[in-house]
Amino acid sequence: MAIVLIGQPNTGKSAIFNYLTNAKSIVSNYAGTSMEINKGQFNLKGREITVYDTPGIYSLSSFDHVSEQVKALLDNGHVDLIINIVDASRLEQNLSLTLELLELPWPVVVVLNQIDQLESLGLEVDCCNLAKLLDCPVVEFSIYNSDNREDLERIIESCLSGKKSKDCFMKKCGNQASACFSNCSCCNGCEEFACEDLMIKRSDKARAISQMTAAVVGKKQSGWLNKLQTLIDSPFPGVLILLLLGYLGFVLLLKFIELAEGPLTIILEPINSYIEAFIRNLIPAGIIQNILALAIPEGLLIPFTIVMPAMLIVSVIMSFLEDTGLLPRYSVAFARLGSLIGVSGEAIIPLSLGFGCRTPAVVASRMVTRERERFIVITLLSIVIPCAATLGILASVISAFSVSPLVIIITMLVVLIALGLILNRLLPQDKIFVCEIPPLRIPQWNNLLSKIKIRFGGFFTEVLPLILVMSIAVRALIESGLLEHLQILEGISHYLFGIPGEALVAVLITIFQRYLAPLILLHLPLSPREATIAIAMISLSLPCLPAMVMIIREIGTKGLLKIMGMGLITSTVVGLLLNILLPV
Amino acid sequence: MTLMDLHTGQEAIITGINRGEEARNRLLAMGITPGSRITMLARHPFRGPLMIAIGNTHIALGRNLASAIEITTAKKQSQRIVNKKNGH
Repeated sequence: MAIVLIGQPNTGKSAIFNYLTNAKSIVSNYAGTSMEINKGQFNLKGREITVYDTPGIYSLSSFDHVSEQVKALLDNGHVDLIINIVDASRLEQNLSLTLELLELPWPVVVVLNQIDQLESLGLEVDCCNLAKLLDCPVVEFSIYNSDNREDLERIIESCLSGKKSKDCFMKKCGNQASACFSNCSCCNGCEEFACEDLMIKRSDKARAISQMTAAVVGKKQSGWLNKLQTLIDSPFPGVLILLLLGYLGFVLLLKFIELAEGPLTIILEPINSYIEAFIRNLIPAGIIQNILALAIPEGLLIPFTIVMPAMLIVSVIMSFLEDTGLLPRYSVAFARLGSLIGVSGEAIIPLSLGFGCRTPAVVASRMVTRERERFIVITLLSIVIPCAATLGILASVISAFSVSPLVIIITMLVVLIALGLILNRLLPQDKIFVCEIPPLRIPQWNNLLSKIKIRFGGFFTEVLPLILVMSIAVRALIESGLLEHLQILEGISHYLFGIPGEALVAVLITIFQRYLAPLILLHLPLSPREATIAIAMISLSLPCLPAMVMIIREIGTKGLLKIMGMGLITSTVVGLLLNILLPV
Repeated sequence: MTLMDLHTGQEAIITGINRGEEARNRLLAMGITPGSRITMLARHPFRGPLMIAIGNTHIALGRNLASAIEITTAKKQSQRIVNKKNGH
């Protein structure tokens, strides 16, 4: 038995999915949090039920990537029941999708979610009348009320035992263009205008039903949160407040890393000397002992003292921006700036998620529905935007060589604008920016914590093991004397980029693992100028391996090859230009 | 008259959308359909996006889209509070 949760963006599908299955889907306060289908199980009176949580869609008739995913699930997923999650405070908008779902062959249960919010909005919904008008079961729901779970389970159970048959839909479909999202055998899909006509008709009907069932019963409570929302949503001082918050987030990041580094180093130093002594006792003297005894303590120091604090604080900041509903407000505030680099406001969300980790950000780029613009966003994410782990390692290398962070930041900004403008010229497109702005909310502590845990968990499962392996590889490279054999690169490297041959090796290592490449620099005697050029070349090159895998999944190998080509060209051009521009 | 001509705080009814299939499809799916009543919440400067409200939903849209949405201004709808005892 399988049920599928379908609803418009930001109606609380993932929260209900987590509530039913005890899963840990990421729940946020912006449209487009879930971009993939999640699967979970829950036990309904002894029966194992599979639950699918789908990304938010406005209509099944849309031809975007997300709607296609939901259609494919309905077509192939052996679905027995659709649970339509409706935001009780936005009936008029949400019911259009409900009406569309009711035209399908599966039984539908409407869950009126966030019913607890109605009172503060001065609204009341007549649930019985709504069920009568829609001719389907309607359940009032709030995840804060445990009685709701029983009501929902009871209705799911009764619907699953008396479901409609798919056959009757197939017969009906021949005369009804409305149900033609699937490539069923009896018709060839609906005409474009028939679809539009149906959408308008559904919207009219949704409006009429909403007027008949929802009523204003009191005044909208204007608490401090509403006042703050009005303030932030106004162009002035809203944009200034958002800029100030962004600046504070940046300062918090730097201060936190700075404050954490000292105490963490004090704790780690004795542990590291113990590990070194332990390895020297365990392994007989020789090159292997030397490599491991040096590389393992080195490989623990940087991730724990710099990368860990950076990843932790970026997870906290991003989770806070998402749960409060501030993130989509940044996309409005920076929509104009985005258009300067060839992306619409929608692209600001995946681009800012990239500061956390690029891999999920590439998936989040699905919220940008135009293919060309999506390619630009993924390219900028891959080449320019530094993830939390990269930021951490960059910070350590910058401080080790007294490099001016300003030069690196300016170089990155210039590359971001130049690359955006060039791609925009090469891939001209119609800019469509339309985005739903959720109400501001106070974040739920448990949700915030579980999200930070999921994001930060990547440090132990992905970043730490990789840095350790890389650290051993770098040490092996140094101890083996292989680096000295790379003198052949010395001449070219010095002439073109003004950096030693070994530093160019670090740049080339980015092909394997971008955020680890700077580690090799730490072992070289570089001048600030050489370090600046090498760091800039590494920061603006290729995406890391996990991101590459995700890019292939999202836009194919051809797309990745184009991005890698552009990354290498960008890195070379940055090195050449900085070598010319920076004073010797 | 298009959405671009609407001032902050003014209300209007959408009468049509003059734009290509993709944009029209998205707007219609989001509930920006002919007959919908909208309120202009904010206009960002330097040709920035506009913020509108349809019911309790707030939507931001770029100006090139806004210029394709035809409207007719409507008088501000005063919200009538229904007495709970009488039902809806």
